[in-house]
Amino acid sequence: MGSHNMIEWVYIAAVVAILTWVGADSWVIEKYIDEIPEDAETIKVTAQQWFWTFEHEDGTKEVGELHLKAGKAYRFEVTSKDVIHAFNIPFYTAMIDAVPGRINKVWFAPDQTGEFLIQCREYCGLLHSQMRAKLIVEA
Amino acid sequence: MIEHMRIFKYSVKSKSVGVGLTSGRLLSLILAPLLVASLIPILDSAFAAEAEQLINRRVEIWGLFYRLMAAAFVVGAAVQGVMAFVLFRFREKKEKPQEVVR
Amino acid sequence: MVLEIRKPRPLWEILFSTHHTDVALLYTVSSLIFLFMGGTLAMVIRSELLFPGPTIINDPSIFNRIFTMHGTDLLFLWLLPFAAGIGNYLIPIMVKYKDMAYPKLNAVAYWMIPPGAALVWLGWADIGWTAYPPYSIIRAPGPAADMWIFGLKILGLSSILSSINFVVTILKCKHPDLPIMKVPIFVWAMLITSFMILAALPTFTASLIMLYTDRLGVSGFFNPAMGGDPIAYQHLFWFTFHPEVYIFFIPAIGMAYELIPKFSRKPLFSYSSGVIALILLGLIGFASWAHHMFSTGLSFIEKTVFMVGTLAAVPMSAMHVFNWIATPWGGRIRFAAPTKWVYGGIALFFTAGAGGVVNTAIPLDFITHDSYWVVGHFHLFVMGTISFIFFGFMYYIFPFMTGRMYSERLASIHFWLMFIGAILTFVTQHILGLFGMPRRVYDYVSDPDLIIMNQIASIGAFMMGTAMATFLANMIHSTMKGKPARMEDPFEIGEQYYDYRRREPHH
Repeated sequence: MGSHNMIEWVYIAAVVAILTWVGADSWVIEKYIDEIPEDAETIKVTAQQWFWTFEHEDGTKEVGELHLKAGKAYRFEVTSKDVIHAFNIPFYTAMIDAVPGRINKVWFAPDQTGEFLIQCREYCGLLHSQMRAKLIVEA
Repeated sequence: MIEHMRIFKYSVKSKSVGVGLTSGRLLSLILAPLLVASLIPILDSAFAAEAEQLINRRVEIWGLFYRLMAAAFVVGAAVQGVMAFVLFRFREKKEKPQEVVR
Repeated sequence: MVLEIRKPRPLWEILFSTHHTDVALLYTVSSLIFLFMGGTLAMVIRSELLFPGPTIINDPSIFNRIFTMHGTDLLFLWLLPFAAGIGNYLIPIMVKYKDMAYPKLNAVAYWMIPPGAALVWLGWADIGWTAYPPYSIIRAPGPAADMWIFGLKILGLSSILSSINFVVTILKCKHPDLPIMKVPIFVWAMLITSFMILAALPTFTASLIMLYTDRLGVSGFFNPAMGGDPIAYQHLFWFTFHPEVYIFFIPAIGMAYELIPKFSRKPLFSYSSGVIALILLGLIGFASWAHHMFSTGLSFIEKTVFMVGTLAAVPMSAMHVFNWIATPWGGRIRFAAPTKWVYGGIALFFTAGAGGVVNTAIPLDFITHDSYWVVGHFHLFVMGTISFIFFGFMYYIFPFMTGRMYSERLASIHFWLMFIGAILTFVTQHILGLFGMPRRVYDYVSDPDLIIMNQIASIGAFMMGTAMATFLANMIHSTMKGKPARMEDPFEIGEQYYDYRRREPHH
């Protein structure tokens, strides 16, 4: 390396430092999000072309709508009956693929009441754009 | 011509070390607050676990997003700024006939 | 002349030729035709998305086919063949050899493109260019998906054959007095790209076969009903296609290294740094594929490994950007069309890369995955960076191809409209993604924010469409009636241009 490359070394060191920080910060946040609280209530989510079905722990089934309580942690066990879909609640940053033959898990605790959008986030055919449901969070 | 180039190279060398260290220090100064900000979720989580509260998923995720975007914009401004400067400063200018200085 | 429209060579002479300049001409012209075909589809998509609900297309399945074809066409029929075309023009010249190592194989590799393209286009499939199962197996109607599979097989084979040619030409046919560390970096770029193709593509070839036998029902690799795993396909697919995005990009890096020292009238800042960065990028590019799969249910450790692999490739790109900014320092930059396109491309590259770093932060995948953020991100790469550099190089090589100069004024209009249009469209799409709009949708929630952003993105797209129309007009008009170029130095840089006698292969 020629002597006039010193500035390049400083630059690369800065880039590596910033990337290390990005990686570390992301790792820490992911670690917290990954841990599902033990007392989280399980909701079974089933995706199929082109609607959503939900089943609560007590056996109550809902189609196209999901009623949850604010302040409580919920664990979603997501699967599909046909092709790959993706269960997404944008407001609560919940996102996980619904894969047939597999159960994927995601969790969150809604802190705000109201109505929120549930949508499909993996291309699944003809009516992918219309595959929506409603999340209703009550106090 | 060659001597001219050699002088140029030497001045670039000592200058580049200085510029490199200065800009490195400046960048660290600007980005340091972000480093501090990323310690907050760790404290948050420690406090929440202690108080048996649930962490707010979306707050943590968006917080990370804003920190990374802030870093990206700072670095972006630095790099693109230097690039814009270089393109402007070293552009080809039309040569005007030089005035003879008596 | 390779291409002298007014005193044309017999068409059959070009079509049956095996000389590298003729094959290069075929690759370049074909890739430009496919660019315009894919671009037209983009205009249709953006027109549809001006308003929620059906706008100009009433049937969602047509929309699904349009975005599938848009992606498939532009990736496989524009980006790869254009790079192969420029490689064909320049590699023999740069290694000081008379032609490619295997001229007949070269022509064969090119001629596999029309049948592959025909199968893909006539198939008009709706599986998305990624063709994820189980949709592509159990729900996608045939023969569309089957024709897509076969078309891509042929195109993949064409890529592999031309890569073999490039590797042998560069390593074995290089002039004995030319050391490898003195060849232009463009040659290194094509060498590394070719090695990457040879390492990455066979996996996809296997995946296509497996997809096809699954569709026939005789196997169950990816079909859960038969004991298969759809996620296995994604691993195989992305193992090829993450390196593939570097395969798309590295030729453009090589072109930037060719243009910048010339137009700055200064030697490259650090040749060895450029070569090392390219080699490392080629290797590390294989270590990050599952960052496309963060939402499929990977374990925490898997996600961490791939995030690290992705971040590890960034310093190499930083080294290239450093080289590209340090080289013109102290120079005298000639601002012709190639310069504008290269630096515009580098500016957008940086934006794309910054967004990419956000993508690879695992928790942020919950916000960005399969949303318009990703669409904005990769378009800033393939259009804003790679295609911009390709356009710049197209202008640069235009005198070599035709012996004439293009209209600099039209080229300037082309550049500024595209640059502003690209920012309007693709940066807005990042924000659309943050607002939650999914990708591959023909309809979206009737939210005023989403509507206005979609309209801004569409306006940017129409600007780009207009710009491309001026490009087409410039190319056609200048080829026929452009001012004859000064072939020693058409851009008045003060340096020798390419050996233009190469353009007359039959004399």
